[in-house]
Amino acid sequence: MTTPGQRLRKRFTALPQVTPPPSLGERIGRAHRSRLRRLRAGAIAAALVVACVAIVPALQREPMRATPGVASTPAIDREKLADVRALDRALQTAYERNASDDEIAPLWAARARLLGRPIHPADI
Amino acid sequence: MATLSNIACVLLLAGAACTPAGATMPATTAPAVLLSAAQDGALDLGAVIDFRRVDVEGVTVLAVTPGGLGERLGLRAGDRIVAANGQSLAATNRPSSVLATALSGSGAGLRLDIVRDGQRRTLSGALDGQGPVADKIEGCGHISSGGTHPRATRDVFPVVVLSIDGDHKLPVRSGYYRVDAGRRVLVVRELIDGQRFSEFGLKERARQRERHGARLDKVLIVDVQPDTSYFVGAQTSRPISTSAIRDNSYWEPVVWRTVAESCR
Repeated sequence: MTTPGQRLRKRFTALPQVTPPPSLGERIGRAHRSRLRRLRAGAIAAALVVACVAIVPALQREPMRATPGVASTPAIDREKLADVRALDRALQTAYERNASDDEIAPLWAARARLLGRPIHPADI
Repeated sequence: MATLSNIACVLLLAGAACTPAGATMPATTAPAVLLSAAQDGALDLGAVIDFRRVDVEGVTVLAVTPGGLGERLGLRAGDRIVAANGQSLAATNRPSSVLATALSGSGAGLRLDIVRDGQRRTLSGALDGQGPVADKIEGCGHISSGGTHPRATRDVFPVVVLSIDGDHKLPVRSGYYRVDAGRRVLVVRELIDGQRFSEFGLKERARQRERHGARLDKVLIVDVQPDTSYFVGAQTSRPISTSAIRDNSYWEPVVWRTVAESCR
């Protein structure tokens, strides 16, 4: 009595020996290299896309940083700036007219609020 | 009716493009800063200067206007201006006049001798010859603290106008003022009816007034358009809490009515 495994082995043994064509190995190697090339190209393209997304906006911001202007002043909008100028004019007039510290205090308080800064102790 | 004209001080009317100045340049160095002359002929320095206290080191710069000429010149709060275009500000009773004269006669250039951190420095600049970029508008309007305030409907109560543009000596206390068009800075004091407060709140308000006085007054900046009248008042919260009275947040100055009205 023979087992299925023995029968299968017998059949395999009975099969004729086939020699693979000599070009087969070359074809397999070529296909493998081609697949690698495609993968590499895809990775490079993805890296380029990521680089563009990350770098281009930064490059576009660069000229804004280089814009000449008031480097030492925090950016405040035009309306607020106009208010600060008006306040400074009023402050200067108050000092010229010899106003008291108490009279001047509300002007300094308003200026500090506009600029979001604490009131300078020496100001009042 | 009071007329408030623009006060020709050494101040503002910021404007033309400037480039930063070297802070330690000798007086002979070519001017590096571009300044502009103000519309009324006075030169606008873009700084708040304490003219009330003068000593041998001149006058103190209390603040520098953001984007103004003083800032572009390199002036800083805390600097002491000793001389302007060679005219000394020390040992004079009227440093503001001296500075104004020096600036108005500055011609093509301006040189400030200052003391910063105990060291003498020179800041200099040249007029750029361009017109000023002033926020001055032609024409005039009116500010009024009068009228029938909408107490019940909008919680707005009367105020007294104490100063306009830093001038505390208003010629007429009529509550109706003619002002130049443009941004006007008002300091006002609330006159909220006593019955709006609780008994304790009323006492607390009196206590705060006694303690802080004029420091409780508030600023209202009105952008006055020509031929327009602005009615100002104090808008309050309802009800008025004691904590709001203590931190002076129970009212805000407001323009409660604007009316087209001819002004000459």
